[in-house]
Amino acid sequence: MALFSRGTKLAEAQRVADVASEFERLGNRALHDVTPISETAWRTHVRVAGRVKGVRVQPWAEKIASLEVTLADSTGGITVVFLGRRTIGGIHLGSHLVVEGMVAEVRHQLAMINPAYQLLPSQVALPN
Amino acid sequence: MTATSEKPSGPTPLPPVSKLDIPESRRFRLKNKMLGQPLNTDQLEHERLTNTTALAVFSSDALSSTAYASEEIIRTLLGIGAVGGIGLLAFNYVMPITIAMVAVLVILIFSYRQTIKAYPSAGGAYIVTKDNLGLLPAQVAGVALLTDYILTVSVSVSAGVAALYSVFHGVYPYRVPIAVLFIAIIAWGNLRGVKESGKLFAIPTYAFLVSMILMIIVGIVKATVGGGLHDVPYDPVQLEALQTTGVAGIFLLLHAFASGGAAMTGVEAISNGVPAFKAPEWQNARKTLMVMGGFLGFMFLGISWLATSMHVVPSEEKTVLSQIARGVYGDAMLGKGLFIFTQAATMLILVLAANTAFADFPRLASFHADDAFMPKQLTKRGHRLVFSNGILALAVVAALMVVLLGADVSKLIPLYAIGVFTSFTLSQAGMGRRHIRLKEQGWKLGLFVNGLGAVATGVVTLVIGATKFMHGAWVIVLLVPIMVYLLVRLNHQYESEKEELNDDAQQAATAPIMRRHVVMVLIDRLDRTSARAIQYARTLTPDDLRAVHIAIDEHHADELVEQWVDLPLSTLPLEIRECPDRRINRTVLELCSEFANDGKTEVSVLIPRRVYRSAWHKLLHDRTADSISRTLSDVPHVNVTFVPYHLTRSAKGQHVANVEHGAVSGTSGIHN
Repeated sequence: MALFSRGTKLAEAQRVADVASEFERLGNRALHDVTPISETAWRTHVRVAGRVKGVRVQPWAEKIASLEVTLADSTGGITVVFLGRRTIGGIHLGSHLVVEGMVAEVRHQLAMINPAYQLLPSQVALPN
Repeated sequence: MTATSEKPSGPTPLPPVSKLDIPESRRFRLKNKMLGQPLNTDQLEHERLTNTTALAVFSSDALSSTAYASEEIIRTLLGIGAVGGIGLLAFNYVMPITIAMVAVLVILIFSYRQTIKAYPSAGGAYIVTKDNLGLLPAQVAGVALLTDYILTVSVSVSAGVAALYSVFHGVYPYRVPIAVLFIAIIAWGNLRGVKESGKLFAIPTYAFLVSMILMIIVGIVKATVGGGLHDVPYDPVQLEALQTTGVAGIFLLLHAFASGGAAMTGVEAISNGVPAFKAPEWQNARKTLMVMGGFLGFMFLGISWLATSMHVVPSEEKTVLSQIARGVYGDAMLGKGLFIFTQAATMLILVLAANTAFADFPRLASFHADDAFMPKQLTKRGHRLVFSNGILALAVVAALMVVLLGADVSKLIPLYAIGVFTSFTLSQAGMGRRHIRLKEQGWKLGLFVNGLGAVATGVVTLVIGATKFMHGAWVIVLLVPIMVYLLVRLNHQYESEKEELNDDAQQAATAPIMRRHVVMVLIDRLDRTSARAIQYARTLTPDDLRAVHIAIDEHHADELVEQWVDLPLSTLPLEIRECPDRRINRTVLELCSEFANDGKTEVSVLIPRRVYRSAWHKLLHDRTADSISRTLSDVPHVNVTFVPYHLTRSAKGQHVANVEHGAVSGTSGIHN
């Protein structure tokens, strides 16, 4: 790989580092003001961050598209429902999310329906 | 099956059990081959015995001990295998010691006459002690007897093998395997449920009786009328420089007395089995006891007398009894035949004596277990209505003793007899207490007899414990208290368990049910195994029904999701759980606890499980299903149901239709 000089390698490394730190900055900004999941209450507006630890797949037969995930931080877990979508790019097992919205109830458990969401880069540590 | 038949028809009768396709387990088939058809519970027989048969059945243990009791006295006095001895002077003391022992026997017989009358239903030492002295002394009596039953097997079988190798010297090196083989055969016979049936017992017992009485009479006649008995040749070097006197001498005499105590074991057998006699039970039992006591005393005295007058020195490879028989009968053709007959009868009755222990040990152990002092398994009657677990336990421990001590009777004897005398003492004391308590007619005489019995056997117990302590009795002296302690602890365990389980059971059964019921079907991939579980899950109507997949491999999970969305099962969503640390059990446990810990939810976990017919298949698969169920059973209100899928049967195409009839028919997704 003689095409790359030492200089271009260094520049490339610098660029990657810049992007990473930019992600981290954005991620940390997204994390401001989040509530631990254990402190969420029914019919309140909250902003929580967590890891997708479960995904619920509804068979098509019902003709209703929905994506349901279980979001958990170290204090607890909450169901997050996205209606009208079967998949959302970037939301899968193990991804980190910040969601914001009203807390409702689905199947006797606290749930947030169609919240605003932000994907967190994996290098950002979850606050709770 | 009837529900799917085409013609509309009324209900049909239940199918015969033989038409149902439920194969017996391999274990059961093996048992059937080894032990014969299982017996029905109502076949439990209460055979009544005539006095003649009863004598044979119950006395083989006691009578057979004359085969080695005199020998052990002589061995101790001569100091064979021990430090001190008194050389040829020994023969001056054999008879006095035997007479002392017979005096104890007489006291015992009369004491047991009381017990038989007082406890005509079941009068083992355990019952008598429990009834009069309480549960704890009963444990001591019971454990002491149990250890002695174990030793009865070891000693009798070893002595039986000794009778064998006294005739065929070539057998001597193989005595341990032969003894173990004998134990195995007896155990097998008992597992099959050899009834204590007359013939089997009568022939060897009476053969032994006849051979002994004949031998003693011929011996006496020869000694008095015909020119006397010849001394049996022995090696004089063996007996030189053995002079023990003074205190050590008295100790030695006591030790010899203790060794002779082995002859008393088995005297209690008749009082254990009074219900087996014909009516009037207790009177017949008493008569039989007296006859047995008479024979036992006569044979013991006779053999000791012959041994004394012939100066028989026991050797490694020849028992005293065999030397007496050879000496009495001489080397002529007839004499040889009688000698072999004597030895054969001796061997048979010794093996039979072991069999008596096999009848008594499991029964006594079941008494303990009934009172929650031993594992409950010992109360279960097995395939052939016998206490199989007790039989197996006895066989294993007795064989172990034989192997450890090299099937050597004189090494086993020091452990022997102390247990049985402990239980004699306790049961006689119990009888004494009973007389004082109830004051029935003639209680004063009864108290005297049983009191004398208790004191005499108590003294013998102490003598045995003291003199044989160093030679091996310490094992028993230590073992019995330890065992009793363990049994009492076991009892506390059982009792507290019982208390908790019985606490307000009625109220608990009618307690309000949980508000929610969540059912989860664990699914690894969409195949026939999980299809079966899904089909079953759809028969349930819980508040929340879901399939759960624990994602170890993301790719695998995605595949499953793709298949799942095509399923026409709107009521069955699939939940994918991440499991970054690959601990499936833990992840399922956490998921269940999320529901169960609100105290209002009952969680049912359905686990599809492939059922394999052959052990080979079982080896090929890790038993994930079983391991998950073990983990989940730690959490209250989490319930596990296995949904079996029979692999080999469906391969033959018998059950396929059953599955396809269900929800998964017509879907393409499941076939890849």
